[in-house]
Amino acid sequence: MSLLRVEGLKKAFGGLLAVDDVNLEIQAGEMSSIIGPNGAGKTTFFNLVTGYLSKDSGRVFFKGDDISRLSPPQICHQGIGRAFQVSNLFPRFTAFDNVQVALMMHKRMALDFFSNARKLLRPETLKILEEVGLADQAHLLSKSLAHGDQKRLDIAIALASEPELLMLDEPTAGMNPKESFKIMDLVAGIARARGMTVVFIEHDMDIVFSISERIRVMHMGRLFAAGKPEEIRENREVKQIYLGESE
Amino acid sequence: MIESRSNWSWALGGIMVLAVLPFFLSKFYLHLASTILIMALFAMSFNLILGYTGITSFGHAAFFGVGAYTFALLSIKTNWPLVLNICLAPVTGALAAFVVGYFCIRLHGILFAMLTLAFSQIFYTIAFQWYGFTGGDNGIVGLPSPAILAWDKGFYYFTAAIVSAGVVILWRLIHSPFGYTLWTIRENSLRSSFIGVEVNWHRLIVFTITGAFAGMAGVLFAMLDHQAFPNYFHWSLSTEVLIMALLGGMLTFTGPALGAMVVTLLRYWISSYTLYWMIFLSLILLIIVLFLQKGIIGTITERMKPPELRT
Amino acid sequence: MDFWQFLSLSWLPPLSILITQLLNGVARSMLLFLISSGLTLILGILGVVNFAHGSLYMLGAYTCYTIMIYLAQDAYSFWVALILAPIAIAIVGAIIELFLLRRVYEAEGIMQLLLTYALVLFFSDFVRLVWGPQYRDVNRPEVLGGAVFWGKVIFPSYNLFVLILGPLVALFLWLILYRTKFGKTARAIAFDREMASALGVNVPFLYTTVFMMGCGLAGLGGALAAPMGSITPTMDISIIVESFVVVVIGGMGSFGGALLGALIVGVAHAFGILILPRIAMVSIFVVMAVVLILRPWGLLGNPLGPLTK
Repeated sequence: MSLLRVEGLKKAFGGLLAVDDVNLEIQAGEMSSIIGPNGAGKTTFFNLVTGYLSKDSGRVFFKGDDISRLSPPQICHQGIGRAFQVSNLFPRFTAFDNVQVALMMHKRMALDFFSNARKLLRPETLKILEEVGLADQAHLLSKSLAHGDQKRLDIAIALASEPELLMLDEPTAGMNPKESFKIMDLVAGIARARGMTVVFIEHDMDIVFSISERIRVMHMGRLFAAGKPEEIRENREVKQIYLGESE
Repeated sequence: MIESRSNWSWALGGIMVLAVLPFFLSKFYLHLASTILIMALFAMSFNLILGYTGITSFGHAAFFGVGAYTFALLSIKTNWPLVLNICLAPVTGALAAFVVGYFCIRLHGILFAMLTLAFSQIFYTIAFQWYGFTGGDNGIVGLPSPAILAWDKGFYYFTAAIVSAGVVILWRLIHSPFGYTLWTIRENSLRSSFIGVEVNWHRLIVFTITGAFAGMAGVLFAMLDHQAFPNYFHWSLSTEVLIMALLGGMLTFTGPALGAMVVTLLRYWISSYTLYWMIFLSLILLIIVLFLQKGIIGTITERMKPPELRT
Repeated sequence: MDFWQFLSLSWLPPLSILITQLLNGVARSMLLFLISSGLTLILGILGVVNFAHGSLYMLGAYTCYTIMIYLAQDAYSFWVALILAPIAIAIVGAIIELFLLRRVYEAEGIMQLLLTYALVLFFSDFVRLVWGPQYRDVNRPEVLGGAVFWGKVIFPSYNLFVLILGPLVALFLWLILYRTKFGKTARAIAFDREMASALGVNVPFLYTTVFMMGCGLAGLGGALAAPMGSITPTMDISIIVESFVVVVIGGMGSFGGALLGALIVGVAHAFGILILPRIAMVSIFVVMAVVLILRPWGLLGNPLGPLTK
């Protein structure tokens, strides 16, 4: 049984079909990517799967359960974690607090009115910060972190929910090649250690082809092609989408 | 979000000051002190939604008034025990807040604020016009209080005790996991929902809680003045409590209490010279918005932080 | 009254009265629409929710009063006031935008809200200070003092005037926004401020001008309202609450929505008065509550955000 199965997903904005009849299956343990030109519908696809946008039609199954109608908090508790294209942090919290509060939510403490939150889950929080390499900056306000560190924190927050499926939206956006590889190696290592499935949206082709086990290409809202990196690399239509007819 | 042992010494110091105050103040100033304490409770609890959750309400006087009128009406029209009447005030305050919140909670920002104002206007109109039930603009006068509270020092201690208990509850609430969810909603409600917080439910819950506190403040005020008037529902009171929280500093815990003291004292002082208190209030608000956005205590604590922790 | 009497609707006031009320309601709607479109204009282009809009409306009414009294309420005084009052309010708006609002564009959203709220407080007492707390009245201009008769329906000429003026102003507004360079530039700013600025548009100038226009509309509404009822120091709160209900029902940032919302609110109010005067206001809130539950972004609003059409 596949971890994530999407059937006939459709979403239109006004007259524009942002996601057009997408079907895909992601297997557990897979490290895959979704690529495509700007406006292909990749982020919209993420938004639909994680319940942030309502679907016009189509269904989403996670571990066999139909999650099509669930809201983002509910989907988070199901085991899908998400990191964002532009770092989506709690700016005036410290890095430590950012992760700590996500952990608390994961442990279903949302309606705990009495405990002293500051003391809770400290070792677990530190562990996650160490996983992403931010332990030494834990006490800094998240908004003062460097760009690359903010993206790490973004991922750390998603990791706190102990997701089985981690969805990363352009994790290396705004980074130089060295940083990009560092962070993707980090993600790959964490995924292996936790047995986590990862799907990421990316524009950096070096990263995409070196790390993905499977690549899916989206264009104008449709899932255009899917396959192993070598297959995609040889696919003429994919080349056309990116490079234009002149190739 | 920083807590330390020095909080205990501050709290202890505060309690000692409160305890000895009556021996230094005349009856009039003791009455004023009680008023300030009640407003401090109102403002600090109001800050739960304003500063800690990021919700702006322009109509919180509605729940203050509901608490006051619950006590007043029950005292006048029924034979129920006084203690019960007092305890029911926060309950009805919470209920009213739940109902109003239920309709408004899907909106954010200005629209939410406007709707809370609109709802509080409804409450005000009902209190003002429904002679048969609420006594209309005559209000309800001659409210009883137990013999011990007729003694002005007694009432002061009673108020101080309840306010202190309220403050402790607020403190625990803010530093609980639930409190943390409120902060996440303020900082980034989108991400908050993605880490598993049911944002709108939490906003409704905290709104209801502040309704309870407002109701409590209302009944204390009604007992202090032995009366309940429609202007307990008026938007000018909602404005005052908002300014109290802002003036002190909406990102601080004690700020609103300081704001309550300053605004209450200013009002007593300025009202003795002129009717046009609103103009002064508006100038205070303008000064805060243009120059003092973090409030008095907020600005001070900000200066005291090491640079990397400044927001 | 038994069930069949109820069903036969014989308890309803006669048709002529119903039609009169309907027309009065629509006239009032036009007034509301004027004010709500000023609000929508400022919201859509500047992204500012001008809480003080009701106060400017009130100022417009008082200014109209003062001008008319100064001219001893002679035959032309109303028309002079109708032109001067909106201009005066637009100037007030310019002062507000230039010296106050500008400083909080970059601050947290709540600060804008509080600034306009401070203005509400200020004008509320200011009006009491300058004109006193008692209600004021002005007469309708002679030429519009009568009524129009249509069968049994008696419709005040002045209300007819307002009824006609409303759509005219709406048309004028539409022409400016969609058929002039100024309007196109303004809408471009609403869409993408930075881009517009990068393309050489003088954003600050346009902001001030649009704000002045919005305030002028409020002032016009106030001046028009002056002869219709009493001028009171509590006009500001009641109109701003109603305007926001209009905007909620119609949808933020939509002019069509403002029109629709204004019509709904105006007519509901008119019939509410007929049925049970005390709860006329409450009936409007009921409508609003229903809209909020079923369609929180308003009837003609855009789920994605204001002023994308």
